Amino acid sequence: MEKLSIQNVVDAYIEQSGASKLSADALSHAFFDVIVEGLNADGVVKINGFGTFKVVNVAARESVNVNNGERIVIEGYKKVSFTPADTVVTEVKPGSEPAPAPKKAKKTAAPKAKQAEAKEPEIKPETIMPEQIVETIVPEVKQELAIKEPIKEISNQQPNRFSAIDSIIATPESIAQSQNVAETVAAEQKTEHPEADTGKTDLPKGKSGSSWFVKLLIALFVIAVIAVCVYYFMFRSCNQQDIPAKDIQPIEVEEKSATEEVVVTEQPQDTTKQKTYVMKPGDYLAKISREQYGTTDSVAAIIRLNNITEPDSIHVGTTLLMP
Amino acid sequence: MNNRAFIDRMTDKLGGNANNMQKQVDAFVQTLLSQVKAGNSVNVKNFGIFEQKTKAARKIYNPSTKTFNIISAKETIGFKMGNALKDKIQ
Repeated sequence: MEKLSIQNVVDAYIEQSGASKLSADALSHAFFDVIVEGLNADGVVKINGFGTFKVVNVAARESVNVNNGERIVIEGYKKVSFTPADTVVTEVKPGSEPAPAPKKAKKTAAPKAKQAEAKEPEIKPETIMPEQIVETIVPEVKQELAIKEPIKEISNQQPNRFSAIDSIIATPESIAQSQNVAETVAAEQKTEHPEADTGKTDLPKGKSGSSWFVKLLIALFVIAVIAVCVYYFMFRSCNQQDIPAKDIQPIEVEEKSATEEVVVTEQPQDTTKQKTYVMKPGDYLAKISREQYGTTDSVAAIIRLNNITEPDSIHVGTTLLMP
Repeated sequence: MNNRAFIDRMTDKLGGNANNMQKQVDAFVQTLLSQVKAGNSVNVKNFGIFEQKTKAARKIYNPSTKTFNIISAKETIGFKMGNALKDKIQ
C-alpha cells in the first residue's frame, strides 16, 4: 500500500517496454492531456482495456455551515467519473489473500478475513469459497440470523433444496423456504383443525369434519334469523295494543268534560289543549317536539302522555296526544 | 471521444501511426493497472488519483426460481478527480 506518482508508473513502463525516457514522459503527458481535451469536447472518453471517463453533473444541495449552523447551499459542479473496463475488474480468487480493504471497511471484517485465511492453506478451494465469503459478509448475515432464528427451527425440519451451500448459508435460504414452510404449515393446520373437532364431539355416522361444522353454522344462523323475526313480531303486537289505549284516552277526557259542569271555563281550554298529531313516515319524537314546541325537551312529556313503551317503534298513522 | 478518436489525437500530438500508438497506450495502461492492482494508489498530478477498490461478495436472489446465488468478491480500480481537473472541465 504505497502512494505512488505517475512518475513511478512511467519508470516501470520504461523498464518493461525499453522506450526512451523522453518518449515515455511525452506519452504519459499526452495521455492525460488528451483525456482532458476529450472530456471538454465530448464529455466522454473511452480507452480500450482501461475504462471510460465521463463528466457528471453534481446537483446543488443544501447543507449546514458547521461553524455557525447556518443553512448554506453547496453549488452544483461537474466531476469526472471513471468506470473501469470489464477486463480490469477481476474476481478475488479463493485461496489467495484478499486485497486490503479500503479505509471505510468495517473493522470486524478484517480480522475475520484473516481468520479465514488461516484456515485456507490445506483446504481445497471448492469448500473454501463459501466459508471465505461468509466471513466477509458475516455482518450482514448476523442481522438476518437475528431475524430468521425463529424460522430456522421450522426450516430445519424441512429438507434443504440447496445441498452445496446448505450448512453455511442456511439463513438466506430460510427466506425462500419460509414461504414454502408457511404454505405447508398453513396446510397442515387446516387439516389438523377438522380432525381435532371430530375427536372432541364424537359424532355418529362418521360424518367428515368440515361439512359437519358448516351445517352447524347454517343451523345456528337460521335459528338466529327466526329469533329476530319472532322479536320483531312481538314488538308489532305491543304497538297495536298501545293504539287502542290512546284512542280511548281522548274519549274518556271528553266524557269527563261533558259531565263536569263546574269546570265549564276549562272546557274550551281542554279541547284546545288536546292537540293531536298523526305520525308520518320519517317522523320521530324529537322532530315532532321540535316542530310543535321548538325544543326537544317535550319528548319526555309526549311519551308520558301517550304511555309510549317503545318510543323507537311508533307506527305511521299513530295519533299522538300533544301535551 | 471513443478509443479510435483518442488514439488519433495521441498520434497528432506524438506522431507515428495509429497501430504503434495503440500498442504503446496499451503497454502504458497495463503498467498503470499493475501498479494499482498491487495495492498502491497512483497520483497523477493535475489529474487525479487511481486507487484499488474491492467489492465484497454478495448474494443475489432469483425470485422466479427462488434460488440464491453468490457473486464473488471483485477487485477493481477507483478514480478520484483532483481539484485542478475540476477546474479544467467547468
